[in-house]
Amino acid sequence: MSTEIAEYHSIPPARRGLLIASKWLLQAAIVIAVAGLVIWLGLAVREALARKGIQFSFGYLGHVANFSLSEGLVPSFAVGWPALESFSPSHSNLQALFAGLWNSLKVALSAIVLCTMFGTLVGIGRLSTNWLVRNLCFGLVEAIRNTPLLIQIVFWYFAVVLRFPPANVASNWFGGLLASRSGVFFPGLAISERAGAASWGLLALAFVLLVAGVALRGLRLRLILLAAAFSALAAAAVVGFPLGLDLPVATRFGARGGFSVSPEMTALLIAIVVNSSAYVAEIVRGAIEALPKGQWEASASLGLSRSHTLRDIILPQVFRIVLPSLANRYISLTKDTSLGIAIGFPDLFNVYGTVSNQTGRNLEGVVIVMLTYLALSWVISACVNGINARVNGRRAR
Amino acid sequence: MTTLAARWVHRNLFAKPFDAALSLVIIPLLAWAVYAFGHWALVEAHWQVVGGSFKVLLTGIYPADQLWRAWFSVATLCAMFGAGLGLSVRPARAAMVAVASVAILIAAGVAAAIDVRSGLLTAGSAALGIAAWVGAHRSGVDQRIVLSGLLAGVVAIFVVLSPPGFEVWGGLLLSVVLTIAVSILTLPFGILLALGRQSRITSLRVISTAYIETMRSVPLILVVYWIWIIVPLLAPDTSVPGLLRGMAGFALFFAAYVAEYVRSGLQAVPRGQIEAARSLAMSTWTLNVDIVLPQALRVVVPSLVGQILDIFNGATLVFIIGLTDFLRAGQMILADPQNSGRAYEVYVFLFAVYLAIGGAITYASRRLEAHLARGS
Amino acid sequence: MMNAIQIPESTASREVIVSIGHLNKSFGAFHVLKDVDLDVGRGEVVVIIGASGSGKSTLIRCVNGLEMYQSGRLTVDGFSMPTEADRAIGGEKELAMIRKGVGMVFQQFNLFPHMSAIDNVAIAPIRVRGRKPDEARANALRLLERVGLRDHAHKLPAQLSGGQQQRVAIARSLAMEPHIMLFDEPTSALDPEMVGEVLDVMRELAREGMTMMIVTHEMGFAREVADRVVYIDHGRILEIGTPAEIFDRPTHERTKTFLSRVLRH
Repeated sequence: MSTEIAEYHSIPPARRGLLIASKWLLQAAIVIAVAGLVIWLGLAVREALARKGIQFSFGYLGHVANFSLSEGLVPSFAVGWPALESFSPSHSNLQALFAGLWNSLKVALSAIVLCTMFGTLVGIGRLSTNWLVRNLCFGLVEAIRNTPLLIQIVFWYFAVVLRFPPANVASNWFGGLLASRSGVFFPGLAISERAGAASWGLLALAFVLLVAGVALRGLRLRLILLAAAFSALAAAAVVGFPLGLDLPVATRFGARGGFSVSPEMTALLIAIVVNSSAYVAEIVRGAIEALPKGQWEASASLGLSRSHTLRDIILPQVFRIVLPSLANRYISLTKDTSLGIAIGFPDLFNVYGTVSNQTGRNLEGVVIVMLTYLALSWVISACVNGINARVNGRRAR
Repeated sequence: MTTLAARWVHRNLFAKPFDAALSLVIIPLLAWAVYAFGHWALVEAHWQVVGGSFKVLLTGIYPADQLWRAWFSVATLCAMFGAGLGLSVRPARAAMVAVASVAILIAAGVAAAIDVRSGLLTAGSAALGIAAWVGAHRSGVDQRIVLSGLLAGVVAIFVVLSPPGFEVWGGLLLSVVLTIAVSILTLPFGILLALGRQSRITSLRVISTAYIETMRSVPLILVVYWIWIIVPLLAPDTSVPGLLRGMAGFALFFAAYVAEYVRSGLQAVPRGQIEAARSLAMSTWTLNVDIVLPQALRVVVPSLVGQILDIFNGATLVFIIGLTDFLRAGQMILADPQNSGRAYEVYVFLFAVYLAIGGAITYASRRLEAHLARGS
Repeated sequence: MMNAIQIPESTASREVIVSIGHLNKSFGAFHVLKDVDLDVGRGEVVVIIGASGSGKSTLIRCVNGLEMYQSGRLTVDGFSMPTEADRAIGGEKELAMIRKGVGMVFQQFNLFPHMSAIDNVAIAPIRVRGRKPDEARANALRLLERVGLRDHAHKLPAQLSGGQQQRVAIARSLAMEPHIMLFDEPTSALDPEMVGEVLDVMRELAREGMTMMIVTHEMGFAREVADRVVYIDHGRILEIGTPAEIFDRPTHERTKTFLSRVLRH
């Protein structure tokens, strides 16, 4: 309830009118100025392109690419249902860009997982009680953060991956891993001919049950779901398991079997993982050191060992604090994949460059690529914010 | 003595079983790595490939008869760096001796690699830098004059280096000059963006925020490449040198980050300061210039110095617009069939130089942060 | 419902410096000041007491515009203070005019940490009133002497104790030659042994005839120095009168409860 006193204005009406008018004028002026600038830019560019005989249009995306990429998958509907197939010159420019995006994502997602793991380890190592470990971690982190990423990428590619043995003489680690200069080969999944619809169905059922068992809550429910998943798997095995292991083998002509990671991607991935791990290590170390000393003192007085303290008390709290900084690091990491062009990795930027050179469509291309990167950043932020909210409950903002 | 050492080893390396296990694994590995590297560096490596290509590594394809311009730039850079140092760091005897010894080592290296004249010029530039350091500190000249002097220095370098054409700039000189010029360019633009982001005028705020968020989401290489492409389209009659287009791309990108650093600096100023200033009837201008900015800079300056390192490391991306920076110069040297087997030597040298410069910048940033925090 | 404001005889003839009528202020949905009426005469010392959250700080922060009010009348020094609606479109000029004549001392001192004591005191006259730096510094030195801190003129705030900082803050406000000084719990953030030195300065100011509005918990000081005491409860002025009337003969139950809780120690 408020008193019904008419609003008292200390500014005389004439001046008030002037102030309101000038405020709106200013806003309008700014909007007009910026819009004018953008329109002028757009017109100037369009005129420049017209002089070269090119119109601003996205039609080129449907044209055939006529170039090939060393790797990359595109969605295609050739088989009637959506599947991924390797990019070929007969695909369209748009599919080329998609292949580039696929390659960037391959590296980015793997790197995000790996650098978080390694970065946390190194970050903890920076605080180790072992003098050697502590200083080695410090030295590594400083050496990596103080030097350009590009030189690290180039180093890993030319000085390490390309110095791997050729595929035909590469040795087989643990029976399933082949590291050669034409790529790193891992055991892959092979689809067995004997597989019928029944075994596929059981496998799919087992997968769904497993996911449900992990995602849902409630101990009893979880146990039931997991048990059901295992039974489905066992049934599938009895009927004829549809999947088998395809182990890579070094033959005279190269390596065969399994699924492979190209040398470019290997080098780029290692470089980005190592580089980002250094930054994650600093983030984690900073967060651990920012926690009040009282936490360590309290757990010590409760008799917890240092590693238990770390695992149960410190890291859960640290996890909450580091999420925003980690989100920034993940976004930077995703942007770093664009440096793959330096070693010929066909990431999104590289493909954009190729398409632009071939078609002259720099402007349309950059709009698409910029929007794509914006979307990627936004998705990463949203995911991390989602995790933040789940971890911190309503308190998180 | 030995018991002291033994006790240190025990406490630091073998205090707990886990630590002991780690040490037992690491020590042999480390020893092997150090030995292997040392053996390679001193016995197997052919360092002549580096020594013989010093000119290319440091100045790219700059015409040999115009190298005096490059020497002028080096001397000016040393003087600028010294003067900047003099603003905040006291030329203590120990520090000066350290800097002088490093300078003598580098000069000797240069003399061995190229010729005595170059070594003398290097030593001379270093001496100039030290003189500027002492001079700026002792004479107590006003900060603003020194800063304008730094600006004048950058302009002078550009004026002196440009006559042979921007396309022939290369090597470490290109990397350094690009970094300094871009660092300076981003400041006014970034501050304007930050103010725009805080503005009460909605349209300004929206535009600034959109710009900042966009630049932070897209890769630097894309921005640099795109500006390089778009400028000739916009101004088809004038030919803008690739280097300047590249610098524009860098500046536009990093200005967004400067805006974010300035914003966090502004947020670090307690609200009570603004209330006190307002209560004293201070205008917005006085409030920002006399009260907020000095306190915000405390937080902003260390981040800005850190960004200089980001720009320096980012300068390696100019390969995409056809320029030859320090890293690319090294790769160019390796492309020469004569040098094909010597990749490790060149890369180790490049890495060492980058690490030295990067380490120095990081060290400076940390010292600056500690120095500024002392007042609070 | 509120008491009719009985302006004591001695102040009835005083010129009114601050006139507050039917003042209403909300923070969003929270109605924090309800129909506040208060007139402060020249040379008068008004002490405002009340529980935390009662709105007393908000009231004096409205007087120099640090908080905006929605409706009512607020006149300071002859100028009308812009309402929130006015501030949205402008009104900065009026605000600046008012603030030149109103001094404010904060609970957290809010000294400028990068300036010495003398620069803290001199900066506003130099920048706002356009005084020459030498003149302003000389004046600042005189003010610092007045608060007993002449020897500390060139120290940074970090080198001063809380009581010293608050005295510098008072000198800083005085440098602008205000017609009225506002004090928002000036001693609440001080260690007990430093409270006295600040209260001494304030006592001296009152004795010299400065118009003051003080929010404080220091009841002994209030009794000694105040011309009138205002008790605010949940955003309303519940009681107002001389110190003797409020402290010794409070009429409302809530006033009695509040005083009994506060005066116990």
